[in-house]
Amino acid sequence: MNRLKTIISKELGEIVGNKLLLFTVIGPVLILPLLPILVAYSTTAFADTDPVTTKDVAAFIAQVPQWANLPPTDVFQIVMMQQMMTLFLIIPLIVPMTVAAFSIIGEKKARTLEPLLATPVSTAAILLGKSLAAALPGVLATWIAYVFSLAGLKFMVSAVVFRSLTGATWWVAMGLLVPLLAVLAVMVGIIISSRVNDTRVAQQLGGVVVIPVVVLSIGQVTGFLLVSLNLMLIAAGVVLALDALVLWVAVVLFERERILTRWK
Amino acid sequence: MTTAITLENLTRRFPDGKNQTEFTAVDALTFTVERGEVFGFLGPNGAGKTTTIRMLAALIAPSAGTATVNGYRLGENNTAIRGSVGILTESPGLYENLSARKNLRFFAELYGVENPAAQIEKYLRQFGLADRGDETVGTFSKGMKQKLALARAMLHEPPILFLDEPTSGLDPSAAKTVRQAIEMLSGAGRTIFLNTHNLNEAERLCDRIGVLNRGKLVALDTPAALRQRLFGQAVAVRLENPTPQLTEQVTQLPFVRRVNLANDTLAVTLADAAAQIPDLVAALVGFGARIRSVAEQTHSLEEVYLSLVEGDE
Repeated sequence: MNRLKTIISKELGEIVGNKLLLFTVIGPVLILPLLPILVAYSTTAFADTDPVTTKDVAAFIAQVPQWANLPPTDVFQIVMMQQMMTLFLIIPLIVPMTVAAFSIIGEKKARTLEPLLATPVSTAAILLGKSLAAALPGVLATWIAYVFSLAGLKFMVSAVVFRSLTGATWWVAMGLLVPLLAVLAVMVGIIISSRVNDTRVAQQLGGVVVIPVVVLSIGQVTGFLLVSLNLMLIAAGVVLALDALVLWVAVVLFERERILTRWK
Repeated sequence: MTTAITLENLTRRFPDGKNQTEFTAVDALTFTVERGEVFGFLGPNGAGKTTTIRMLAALIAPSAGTATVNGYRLGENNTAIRGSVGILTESPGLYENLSARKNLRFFAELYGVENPAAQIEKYLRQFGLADRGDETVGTFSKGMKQKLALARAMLHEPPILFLDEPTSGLDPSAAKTVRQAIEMLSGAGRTIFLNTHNLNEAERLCDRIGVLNRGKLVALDTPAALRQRLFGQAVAVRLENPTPQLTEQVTQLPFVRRVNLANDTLAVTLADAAAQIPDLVAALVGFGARIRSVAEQTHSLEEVYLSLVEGDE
């Protein structure tokens, strides 16, 4: 346990010491909360000149009939906030993937993996330590960005809209989907990093992990998909299955012998 | 002396992707290294030296055979092996954006060192790095990095130390300081297994030398015994009147292995110089030679090494 702590704290220290990585972690926390706040502000600010009408939100009400009793602005804001959710789901994909790629490729380039593997620490502990250190900043950044958003929106949206932001759908997304996506991103980062020696290449290849979230986003914009509790639960189940698969691949790859003899 | 390392037919094969076959990097090595011994492992690039160290340090598994390191059998207790050996890899492998102290602290904690702060200070002082312990390693010279890597390998006081090309790529001055550091470590009953290309280094530091070529051990002995075995002992006899006829007469002597005349010096290789020089001198005088001087000649380890490696090809 102490050794795991040692690895995690050293990895986190490396993030803090690397300005680019640090910005990758802190940037979304600073920028992302502004987006839903701006959306809320714009729908409120232009309510007099360009109000949202029932016609504008008819497609959404058709999918969620209980919204029929809500003012059109509230419906519009709820939908837009759900749209924002996809942005929140991108953070736990991008940040952990970037940190994992930097960590593994950095060790490969500096040739520090062999001395690390020569210690009496198990590869499972090394993998777990690196994974947690890569996943935690992304998960925490997402949660902090979410809390900052809530703090701002509390004073800008109606009670109904605010309740929708703290409802079960968001809890599942934040509490379940975000950590699961972070694990997926870390493992994909490790798998890619075992084959390439350039963090930029790794990030480009790793970019594929955001595709499902982008699909979700497009589905929402086109009205084809609407974020709901069921959709989030299904997504969490799918990501959990993917996690199991990529974790297995990463564990197979992250083995002393393989790292020393096959990683290029 | 007790045995620190025992290799029994230790073999490692790797897949050869191009030919869908396997090539043998280390081929049935069998020898022992005693406690407190400085054992040199010589061989050309690709001979299998690093693979051998990696197997002995329980980093990669052998394809066949086994080894016992510090009493632990390879494959049965690899964690204990890793905990009881120190390894200096070919590259120092230090975290360049961390300070020397933080680098050592990280590894001290991974090795479970009981009093890390004291151990870190002990080795930083021992290697002359205490004053720069808080500076990031990226600012260090190659020699300093290598010394820090040696300090890292020593933190947990391992009884066995594996050093893989410790002076490779260092300038003469840095190499000298690293060699001095190794000399310092070789005391106190510590076993050192030294992979090196540097023949002078091997000659100076090692009690015994194993010569590895294409995965096979082609020789194993003390440097002096290797010279003796390969070349016998040469004697340089300076003469006033060297003649080809004299050379021919000396060649016929039963205790002479080889004779070579260059200018006024007759180089005579004997099986046992100490015992046979008086007989040689008596014979030369008997042949009518007028002797100016007689001196023992020694072959360099380089000659021994080249003879072994090139002779094997």
